[in-house]
Amino acid sequence: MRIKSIEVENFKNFEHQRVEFNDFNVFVGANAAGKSNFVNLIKFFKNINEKGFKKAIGELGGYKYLKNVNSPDKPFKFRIEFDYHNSFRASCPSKVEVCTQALAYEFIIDMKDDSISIIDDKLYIKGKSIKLDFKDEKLESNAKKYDDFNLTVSKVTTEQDAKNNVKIELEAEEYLIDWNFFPYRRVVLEEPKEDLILETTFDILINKFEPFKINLYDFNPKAARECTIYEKNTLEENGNNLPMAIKNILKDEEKKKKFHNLVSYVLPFIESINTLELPNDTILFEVKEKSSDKKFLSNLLSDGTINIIAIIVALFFEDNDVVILEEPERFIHPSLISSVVSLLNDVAGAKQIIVSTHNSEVVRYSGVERLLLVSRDKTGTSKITRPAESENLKVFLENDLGVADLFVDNMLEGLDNC
Amino acid sequence: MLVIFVEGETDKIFFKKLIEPKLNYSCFSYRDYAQEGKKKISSYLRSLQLMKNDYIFVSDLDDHNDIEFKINKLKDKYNHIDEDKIVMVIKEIEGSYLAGLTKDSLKKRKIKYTKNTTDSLSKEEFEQVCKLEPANKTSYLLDILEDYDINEAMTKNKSFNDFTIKYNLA
Repeated sequence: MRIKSIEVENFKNFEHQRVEFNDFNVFVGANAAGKSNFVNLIKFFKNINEKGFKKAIGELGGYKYLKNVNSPDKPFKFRIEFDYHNSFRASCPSKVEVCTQALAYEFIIDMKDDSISIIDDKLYIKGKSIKLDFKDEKLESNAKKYDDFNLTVSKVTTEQDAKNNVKIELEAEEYLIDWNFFPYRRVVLEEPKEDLILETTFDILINKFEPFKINLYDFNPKAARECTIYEKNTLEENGNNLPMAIKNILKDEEKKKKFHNLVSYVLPFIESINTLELPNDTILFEVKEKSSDKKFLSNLLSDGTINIIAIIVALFFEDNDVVILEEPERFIHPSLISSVVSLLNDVAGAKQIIVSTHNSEVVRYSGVERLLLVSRDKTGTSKITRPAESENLKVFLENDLGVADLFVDNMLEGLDNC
Repeated sequence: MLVIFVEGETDKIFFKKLIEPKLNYSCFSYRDYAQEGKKKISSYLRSLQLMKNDYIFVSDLDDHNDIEFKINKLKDKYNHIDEDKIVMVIKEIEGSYLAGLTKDSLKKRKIKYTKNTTDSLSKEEFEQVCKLEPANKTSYLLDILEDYDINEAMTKNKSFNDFTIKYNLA
């Protein structure tokens, strides 16, 4: 699963913005340019699905600060598109194979005073399906003719539908409509009026497929040094259960070897890492250095060391399709940043990587084609551009000036605008 | 101090993990020259010469068959480069990685590579032959270096053999 694009209107410092994503995306810009606001839209989407719309809005700073200050009367629009490749077979009543290809979700909401109204709310799933017979199942390599299907789930906002307010429309062949996953060609379901599809119906449909595996990390090394043994094994957003996540990795010999190889490559002074449980149910990790037999507990390690270990865990040992890292270079010496970016680059073949940074070394090693520049104009409105598309940038590059130099000199923003 | 100019992270992993421990220098520094402007790299080279500090400049031969031609290209690009410091890798560094795997190590990794030289191996062929999974290259390269047999590599890769003899690594 990959995020293909995000489009937003009237959101915080963005009036209208659409961004197409690739495998490796690096949001750069000055402080307060709007990088985190845009990247946090992905977290917002995830939060609506997991925690509900109201809590998701709360985490973005509340209704008051959601809309663009320059156009408070316009509604807030959000659209996210995914490359969403899943396939499965079922056999009730016909044997069918369903392959999803794309998923899009969009809503338009308006907020006035303390009330919120949903103007539009739609989910689209596009894909292909085929009715299988016995021969097909035996001979999968045979050419098959797949049929397109389009599923649209929308909120009905007319008064007569006030009680039954979710409409499911399916354009597909009859055999798919017979099947209990898509039991209806056209149906209206009763749902609580205030909820977004993403909070309710979405789960009913999506849980048939692989769930979204989007993880956002904003590590706080101070909080990642120790935790209780009751914390979960999967790494938390701020890394505060890092010792438990490491413990989980070290259980598997193959993963343990890979983990030590990667850690000792970026941090050559480290020979091995082990976890240590204390009688008060606290768990830490200890690092054995190559130069001596000494072991150092995690609460004595530098913030940069903790940050690098957390990044390696998040990238290589967590089950995720999309990894979002806020300022991964934090506390890390510039000479090590090329190795960290190399790890990000390595993983980008299998997972989608989204990074937000204002570090010139990350800019240098990521390469210009990965950069998404976030900048603000005089009115405070932010916009996102790709410096690689600028003809003026090519002139600088041809004259031996690197993109990192231009970024440090604040010249990327003015390439095509000033 | 030895400064090692590398073309990318794959070179850096090779030198940092395998070569560095075998060289007698108190400290090492790496410069990824592909990410820097030619003037800046030339200034580095000039400064190193003036300070009488040592360096190695690693370059892939790629598809150029003529080593002299590639060396001259580098000399044209970087004013102060010393020809004697250039380490020409035939044809890409991936060949040097694979060269160090003995028959047993190849078998352990289920790599089917029967040629007795890796001199013509490209990056893409290496990835294909090793059935490299996405998101696994760094870890895979580090794992190869754990089992690396220098004597085996010397017989299978000409540039690695020349480098090993020149720097007395075997």
